[in-house]
Order: sequence, then structure tokens, then C-alpha cells
Amino acid sequence: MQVGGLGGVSTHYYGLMGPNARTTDNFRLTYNGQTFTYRIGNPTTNGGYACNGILQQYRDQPGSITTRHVVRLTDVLDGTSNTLLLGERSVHLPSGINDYRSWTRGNNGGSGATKNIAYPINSTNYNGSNNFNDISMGSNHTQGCNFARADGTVVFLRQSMDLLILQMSATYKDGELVSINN
Amino acid sequence: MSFTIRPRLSRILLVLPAFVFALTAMGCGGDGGNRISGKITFQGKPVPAGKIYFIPDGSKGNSGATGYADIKDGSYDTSSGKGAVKGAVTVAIEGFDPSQAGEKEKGDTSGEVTVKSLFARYETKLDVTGSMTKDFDVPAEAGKPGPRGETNIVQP
Repeated sequence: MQVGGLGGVSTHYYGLMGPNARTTDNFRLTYNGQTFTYRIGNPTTNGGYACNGILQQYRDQPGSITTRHVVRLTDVLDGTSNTLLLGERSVHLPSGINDYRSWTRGNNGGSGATKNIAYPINSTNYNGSNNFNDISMGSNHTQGCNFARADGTVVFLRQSMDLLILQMSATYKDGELVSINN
Repeated sequence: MSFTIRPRLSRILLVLPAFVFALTAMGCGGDGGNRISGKITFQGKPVPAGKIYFIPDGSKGNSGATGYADIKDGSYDTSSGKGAVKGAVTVAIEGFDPSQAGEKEKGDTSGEVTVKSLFARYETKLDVTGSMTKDFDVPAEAGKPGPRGETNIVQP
């Protein structure tokens, strides 16, 4: 049963739209002394839509949400083994919180199928207000959750990993080659 | 041949206080890091609900796990979340009022109930020297709409 996108049908694997820092568009992250700038579409609501991941909903920069945007293997300049494609979110939620939605919900009031990387693994549930697209990946496995990389492999990442590394790994062509590890 | 292991009760009682003390000293609950706790106010009033993060500042060469804690009735304590790393961190604070309804995204027909965000995500810097208490007062400017009318998210 499903009411308004809520209820029994839940999605536990989300596409990654890229990094978000819950600030305005053009936010910056510094890694190894180099600064990268990231775009966020519609940043005023629900955490916005990150534009630098493989399964983003824009064409690399804010505009109107678009369908049929294709990122090819050869577009993944950071390397398919260095880029995260999907993340797991299968957390047993405390009562009163429900942030699972079905993929078929699409974009109605936040994305049902894709998420930004804004918080560490297993840290952040829906706050009931404005972080719906930003909720953290996570699971009830011990201390972390699974991610799929663009090369098709699955990796278990620990929740104690540096958030910066996780965010950098969610981008596909900004030129930083972060090897995904804990 | 068989062994029967029967620790004497007196021995357990002897060791137990030391064990409990060790757990307390490690700050069990938060998985590592420096325990930080304190009060969060916005315009002088306690923030009813929200979250605080201690993100290592990569621009100052700091790295590691992000610490966090829930804000409840104006207080936070990372022992119920995750402790912070030492050194330069960016502190991010998000505050909500669960008793008031929030804004809706344009075109949202889902019928979901949302709660009010008190101010945009407020960020400030902190040098973590160890386990410490630190109070934060979110300035009134953080609650004002941004240049494009955004009230949820702002860059300080």
C-alpha cells in the first residue's frame, strides 16, 4: 500500500547526484590543497539537487530538471573505479520518521530515486523540513553501508570515513582522483 | 578431559567497577573522537530541535570523521552521536521548530507534513582542543531570507 509516496513500498538503493554541503550553489571543497567548486540546483528546498554526480538530474549545472541525460563510461574522467554510482540506505528508522519513498514517486517534493552526498554515512535522517535529498546513506550493517561504483563493483564503506572523501568520490569528472577506501 | 570455568562472584564484583569506569572514560555511545557538549540558542532562545555537525576543515589541512549530535531542547552532546576530531573544524548548525509547519516546495502535491526551519544552516569555525563544552548562539541574521528569498539554506 502506498499513500502519497509513503508507506510499504520503499527504495533502499539510491542514485547519487553528487556532493552537497547544504549551502548555496557553487560551494567549495578543498582536498589536498586543491579547491573544487560544485553546483547545486534549486538549493532553497529539500537540500537541492547536486549537479556533479553520475545520476544527477541536471546537465552538470542548474537549469530545468531534465530527463534523458546520459553520462557515458567515457565521460567518467575521474575513473569508474573512483566514482560512486549508487548508495544503500536501509536504516531501521526511529518512530515518527519516514524518509523512504518509492522510485515511482519521481521528483514530487524532493527526489525519490536519487540523493545528494551531504552527510556522513549513518548520521542523518529526514529532519521533517528541508534535507530530504540530503539524508545520509546508511544501513544496519555494523559501522557502514554498501556503495556501487561506476565500474560495477560494490564496496563497503565505513561510517568513520572522511566525509570529504565520500563527497569527492561522488563526482565523476572534476579531475580529482580519490581512491575510494576507508 | 573437561574444564569447568566458574569465575568466583567476588572476583567479578572486584573487576566490575574498573570495567564500568573504563567504559565511561571512553565515552561510550559516540564512537571515538572528542566529546563536545553545550547549549544552542537562536535569538537568545533555546533551539527546540535540530542537529550540529563538526566537519574537519579540509582547507586547513584537517581530515577525519565528521562529528555530530542531535539538538534537543537547546542542548547537544556528541556522546549520543559521534565525537569530533581535534583541530580546525567547521561547525554546522540546523534548527527546527516541530510545533510549526514548514514551507513546501513549489509543485509539491505529496501532501506530506513538514516542520518549520528556524534559520538557514549556520556555519562557524572552531578549534577543537579536546573534549570540551561549547555553547553556540545563532545570530538573528541567519533567520533572514537570502538574496533570492531562500530561507532554508545560506552561506554565512
